[in-house]
Amino acid sequence: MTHKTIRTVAAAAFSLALTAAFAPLAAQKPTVVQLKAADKVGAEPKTFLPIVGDWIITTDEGKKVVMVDGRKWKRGQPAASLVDKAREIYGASHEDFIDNVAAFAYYPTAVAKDIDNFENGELTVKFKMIGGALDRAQGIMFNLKTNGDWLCVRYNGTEDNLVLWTYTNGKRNFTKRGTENVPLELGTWHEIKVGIHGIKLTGYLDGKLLIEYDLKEPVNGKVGLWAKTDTMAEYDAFTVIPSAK
Amino acid sequence: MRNPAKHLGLAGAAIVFAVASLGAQAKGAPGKSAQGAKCMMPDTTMDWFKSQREWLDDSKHAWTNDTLRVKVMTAAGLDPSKAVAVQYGWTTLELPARDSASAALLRPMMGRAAPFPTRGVAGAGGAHATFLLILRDSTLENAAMHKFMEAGLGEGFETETAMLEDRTRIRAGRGQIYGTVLHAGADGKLVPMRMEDSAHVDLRRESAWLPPLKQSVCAASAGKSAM
Repeated sequence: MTHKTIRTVAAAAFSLALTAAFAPLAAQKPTVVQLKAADKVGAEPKTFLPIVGDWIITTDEGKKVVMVDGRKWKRGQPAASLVDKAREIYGASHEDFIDNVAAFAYYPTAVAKDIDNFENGELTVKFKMIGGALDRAQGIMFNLKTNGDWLCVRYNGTEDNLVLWTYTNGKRNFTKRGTENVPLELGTWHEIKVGIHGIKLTGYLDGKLLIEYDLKEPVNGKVGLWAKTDTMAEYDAFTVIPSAK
Repeated sequence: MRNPAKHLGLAGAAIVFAVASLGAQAKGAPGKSAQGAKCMMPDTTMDWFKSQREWLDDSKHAWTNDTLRVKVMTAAGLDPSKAVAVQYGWTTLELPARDSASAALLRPMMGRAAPFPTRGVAGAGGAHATFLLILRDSTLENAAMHKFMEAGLGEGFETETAMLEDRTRIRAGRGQIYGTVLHAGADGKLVPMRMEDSAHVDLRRESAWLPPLKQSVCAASAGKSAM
């Protein structure tokens, strides 16, 4: 190897190191969780891993979207093959997760498979309420831990509000309600956005800031779609925009 | 009233029969029309029908307050010894004017401490009777809807809770979501009042154990509120 080659390699390595070192400081590329060819209409989604409830791929004006179908909801039913699914997202450390599923089976959830971990940045999802006799609640789940704990910002059409909920050790706790109620029409598309910057959480509905809250600790976990009991809703354009802390 | 349909048209007749049904536990309206006959045969294998029938089954006498049950059922004109029939699930806003006796009976039950006639308290018959009494005083609809919603799974009759939600939304100037509140359209036929997201109405109705909208409107046009 000549000196010139060594200098070139060294420069490239330095450049790579700089890039790696400063990458977290730059806004990172948004990841829109796109449904894939394997996501077949009428079947369970492949891009999202259903943990609780009935999730299917459906079409809305010709576009494939994810739907939670609460019509068959009865006191919470973990998705079929729960053990396999828990193993798929958490490997060997899935036992606590499964133990807690029975407790949080009131909340249909589907984990975004391609997002390994989310700590900081923004999460958005478009949703369309379709129905639900008990609940019309849909939202974004994040900070999903291996023991089944999670955080969620959701909109509930039976209460017309955006709320941050915390789920810890098998118990759901009301954490922060949006500053105003916003009635939304069924059958129309809307957007929830969650911003996480360190322990600072913000929650938006259709671009309007409704929740500001300081979390007890930074976020670190999986993300996905969330619903409650017999909710029927469609979800689209689930987007993750990671950023530096 | 011999044949109200002749004097009032279908919509008027439906209103009259809806009022009459406050005291009926099943059964057909007199003079049912040919149009109505088409919808008199619900598919009893459908989930909505089976769910309603299962919920309305009082044969196990699994309620805790028989005094309350008898009180509300009697006030609603129901026989506590008879089963409540599966409901077609529709109302109109022209139901009876405010009834002070019903209000006096129900208002104390709206408090936190008083027992509210849910299924576990007063049986399906008591809960259904309470719904019928609520229809006699619109000022109680919203509070009663929340009572049923918050009573716990299986305590409120989902069909009638949905009907209360539709009535509450219509009165608040919003669109109904189950299509259970009907009025006379331009041609005099009964049609649902303004709806939100009518494309998915039958999905929502299924989750609330309501028959398909078409069948319910058909039954309403024939003056039938229950099977």
